[in-house]
Amino acid sequence: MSQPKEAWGSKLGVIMAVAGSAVGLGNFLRFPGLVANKETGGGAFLIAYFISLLVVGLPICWAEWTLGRFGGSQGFNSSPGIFHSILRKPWGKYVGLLGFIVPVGVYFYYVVIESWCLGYAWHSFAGELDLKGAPAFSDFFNTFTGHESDGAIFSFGPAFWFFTVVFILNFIIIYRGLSKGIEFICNWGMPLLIVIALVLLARVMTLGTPDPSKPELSIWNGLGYMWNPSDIAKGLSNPEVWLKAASQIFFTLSVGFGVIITYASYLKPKDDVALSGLTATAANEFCEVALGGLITVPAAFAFLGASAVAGGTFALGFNVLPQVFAGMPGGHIFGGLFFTLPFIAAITSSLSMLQPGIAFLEEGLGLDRRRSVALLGLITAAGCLLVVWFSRDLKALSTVDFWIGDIGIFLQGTLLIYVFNLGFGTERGWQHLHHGADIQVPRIFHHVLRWVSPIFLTVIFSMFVLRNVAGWNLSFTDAAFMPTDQILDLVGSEAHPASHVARLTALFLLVFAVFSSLLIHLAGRRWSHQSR
Amino acid sequence: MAVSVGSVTYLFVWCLWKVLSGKKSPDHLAHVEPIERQDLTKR
Repeated sequence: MSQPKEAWGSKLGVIMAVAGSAVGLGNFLRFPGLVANKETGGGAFLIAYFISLLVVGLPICWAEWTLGRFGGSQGFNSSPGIFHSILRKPWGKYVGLLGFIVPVGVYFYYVVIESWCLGYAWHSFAGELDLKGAPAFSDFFNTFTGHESDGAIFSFGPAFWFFTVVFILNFIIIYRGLSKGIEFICNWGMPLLIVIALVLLARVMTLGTPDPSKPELSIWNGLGYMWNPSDIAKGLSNPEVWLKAASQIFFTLSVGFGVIITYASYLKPKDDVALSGLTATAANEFCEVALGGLITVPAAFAFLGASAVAGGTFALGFNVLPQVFAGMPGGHIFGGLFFTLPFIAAITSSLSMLQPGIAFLEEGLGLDRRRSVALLGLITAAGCLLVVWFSRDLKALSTVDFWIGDIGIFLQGTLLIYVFNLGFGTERGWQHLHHGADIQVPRIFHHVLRWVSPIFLTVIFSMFVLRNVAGWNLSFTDAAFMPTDQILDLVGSEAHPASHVARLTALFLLVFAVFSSLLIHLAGRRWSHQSR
Repeated sequence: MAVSVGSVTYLFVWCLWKVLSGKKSPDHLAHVEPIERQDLTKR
């Protein structure tokens, strides 16, 4: 049995790193938008959200921590290696393929959005976001992100340099290693993130009624708009509410991402995983519900009204909120702090996306840290350049996000829970979960892990695919299927011509998947040669 | 709102306190018993 070459410096360090991986843009922008949605949000969404946390999020999180620590004890740190050590079949390592593809693939576009956050923070602090009127903010976003034409960012404006700095910064930190790089950044970044969020929360809660001529637009009405329960019984009978709630839990906790399993593999065999997994989950939920849920939407409502919070994540974050900060005293400071918040959240997440790739290249191909960082740098540079160049309508970004960030994560999470139950064994997994544990997990979660999580996740994943690929209207009585934009982008129709950029991006992802499979094949030969 | 925000805040603070205080559950010693067949000799 070989020991991992790297290890975490402290128990709190690994918790901070996993929490840092989970806390991201979605906590502060996507979650509030989902709760505030008048059709599928409100009290019904929150009930479905917390049920999903208990039956999918937390159990799979524990399963991933457990499998990861076991894989580490066998000398493996990457998903392909860990699944190879668990399944002990020639095809076992390929089950972990998505554990390499998903984090690296998500990095292709995540680091781009991360650079937007840094850019917006910089421009806010510099007072360059004191614009007038909604169109001015929309124009700024479109120009900054190259939304209107492909290759616009390569005019070497500020956006190009922010992207370059953020991309290189990630690799400098990851090169420093697990403890000196990731753990160091997360140990400082996570407390700083919570402090900044609390400062912003205090500012938002003391906003009162920003415009006395519009008394209905107050922070209290904003909180009521977001949090007052809607028709709960009606909402819970709506499949879309469950789909959105379960998807949000799944994505926000980074389960099935290939990150937790890699991070946990660097634990010692008797280190706790039960309390650590619960603490990382609780930290993410605190940032999402208690901080994200109280800052973004109430502030936007108090300044701009209900219509302003109806847009998507990007619209809320990069168009609406800059208007809010521009309208408040000292807005450039608070705006700068606000965009520093998702930047910190994003960099702790993007680092976590690189480590599974580094771990695989090191143990699969026998590369040292320098070479594995260089090879992963080349792979991610190719993917990032594709996303950055084809910026028009953010087509390449949304295509990678859909096939890797949505479908890939769901698939990997579903595979993971089946490997835990069928490959590793539920009872054995339960004993491993409690090996060295600081808490006793209630026995009911044994049954949840064995039966409820796989069934619930399979149903939700099937619904997700039927909804977002086949275009099901989620009606059982009057079912209809209309291919979604993501599919029409690839196959085309009379009303919706195929997108060459979407096709090129899909082809790139396919080549990346084949290349990754080849690397796993080579890794398998190496492990067989070493009798591992 | 109070229930959602209160419960996640309580859970986070409780977990953090447990981690930082390093307190084990009363029966934690049972949890470090070897559980894999190949580790039995290490008992």
